[in-house]
Amino acid sequence: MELFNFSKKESRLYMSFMYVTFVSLLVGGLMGLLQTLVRSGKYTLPFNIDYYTILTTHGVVLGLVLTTFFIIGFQFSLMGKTVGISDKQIMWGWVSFWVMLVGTVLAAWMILTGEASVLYTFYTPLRAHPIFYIGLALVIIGSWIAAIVNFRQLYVWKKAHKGEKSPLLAFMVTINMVMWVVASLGVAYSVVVLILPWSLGYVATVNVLLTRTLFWYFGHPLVYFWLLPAYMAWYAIIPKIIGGKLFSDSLARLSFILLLMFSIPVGFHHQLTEPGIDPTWKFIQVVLTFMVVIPTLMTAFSIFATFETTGRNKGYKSLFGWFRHLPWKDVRFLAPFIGMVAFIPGGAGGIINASHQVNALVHNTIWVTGHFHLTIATTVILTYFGIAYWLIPHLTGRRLTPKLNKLGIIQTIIWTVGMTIMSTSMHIQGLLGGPRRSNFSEYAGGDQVATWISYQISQAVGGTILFVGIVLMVYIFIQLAFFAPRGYEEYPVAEEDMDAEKTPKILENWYLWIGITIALILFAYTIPMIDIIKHSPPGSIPFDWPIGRS
Amino acid sequence: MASAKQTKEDANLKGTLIMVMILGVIILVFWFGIYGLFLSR
Repeated sequence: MELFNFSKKESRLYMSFMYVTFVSLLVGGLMGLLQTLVRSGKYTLPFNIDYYTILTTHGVVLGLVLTTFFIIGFQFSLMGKTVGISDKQIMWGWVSFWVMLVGTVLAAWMILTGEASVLYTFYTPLRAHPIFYIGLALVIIGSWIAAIVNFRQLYVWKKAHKGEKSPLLAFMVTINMVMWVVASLGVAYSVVVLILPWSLGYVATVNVLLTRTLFWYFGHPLVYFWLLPAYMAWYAIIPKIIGGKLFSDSLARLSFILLLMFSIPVGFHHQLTEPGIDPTWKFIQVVLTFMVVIPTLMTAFSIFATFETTGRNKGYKSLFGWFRHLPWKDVRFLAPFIGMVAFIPGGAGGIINASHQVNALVHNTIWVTGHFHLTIATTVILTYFGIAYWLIPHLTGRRLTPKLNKLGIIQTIIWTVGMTIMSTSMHIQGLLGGPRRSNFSEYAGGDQVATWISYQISQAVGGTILFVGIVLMVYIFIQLAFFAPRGYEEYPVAEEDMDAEKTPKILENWYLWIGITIALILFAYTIPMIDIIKHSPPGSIPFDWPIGRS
Repeated sequence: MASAKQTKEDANLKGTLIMVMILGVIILVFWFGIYGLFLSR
């Protein structure tokens, strides 16, 4: 397997995405801390800062900015490592970076000045300042430029390597970017065509249900856009770190193809309580959602099998003896491993959320917040941290020293403790009916409300511990970027076994898989969309006052 | 190739089988637990 060395120019591009990632972590994390403190009922925000402003900042900066910048930077590095990058492509990489950054700054400016406290879902008919929507559109356009560069990178490589299968990681990046482009077309249409003219006053009303549906057409694959880079590490990087080989190239590719097909036509499972969508189509999308269980369990199987095969090759014979060989003291392994463990309750919770009736029990409660703090804020983010421990020093020509490795382990433990406290109490409070997203309130002293407060205090305790973890992580990042000793840190890419089965060619038939993906989307969305457009009530005028805009 | 096949067939993945089964059971316990709560309300 050919791996390319990074030039200085290349490394600078990838690092730029990482700087934005870790600044976002600090800013967004601070907002999260403030939220949990406010909701404990023991703290009020200074300077008349609105709770919903910090809530929006937290969601947008961590859910949209941190993730997108990390993913695109990491994926650029994967492509550069496995298929190479030309000078022209690096230039376009910079264009994508700057377009995304300008968009981020515009959106952040509006949020921080209280002009866009519409939360990260920006549901209409709440109206933010038009610049907020322009900023979001630019972030998406910037990410599309990155996607086109990635597609071009693979195309150029394929042309030079006729008949060869593409490197697994380049294949995975391409799947993720295809999914991202197909999914973000929906939200881009919603923002640019429906919401922006309405926010500018050019059109009087907006179809609320249509904008929400287009958001969730994007919003669920967004979750997989976050998750797939973690899967890339689990499938193709962790085996190298533990001293093993790829378990199965074909299984990994098939699982990514299934995730591409079943991530998009499923947005209705976020809208199960939404009036105006035919229950039959909700049910169909719930069924499609459950199909995602298959590639997810394939991934779990593959990970266990990688661990077991590697352990057995090292001579561990007993049933679970292979567990002992795992490099528990290596943070590049430990952080993603805890992420994997968190995905067990996280995934189980996801199945509950997506179940048509059971969703009624948890819908819009803080259970959901607890759920995605397990998935995105533990599974995904701990894997991203696990990647950062080797990627940052590799890019800056430094080393992850034993001391920094130890600090990383402490960081991972702090994160695990903080999140266990916070997420568990969110789940329980949600089952007791506690709402998500809302500011602190005693709701005129109802009995049920009294049962919530102790859980909100627990969340503040967990949130505080997590913030300590964030500060420590940012410290480690600064060390790895600027101060760690000069040297070489490996970019770990797992290799296939010499005797591995040949990967079937059909797994790289892009026309077929993208064709099926589009067919499934058309099947799941065409009729309900026509319904939503034809039978919606009159559109809504904008509302500014509920979010403090005059 | 024959010897390669032999190695694959000999691969001991009993631990993996048990772990995946445990995973399935955890998912079912979670789901039915919440479903029970749904029915009781």
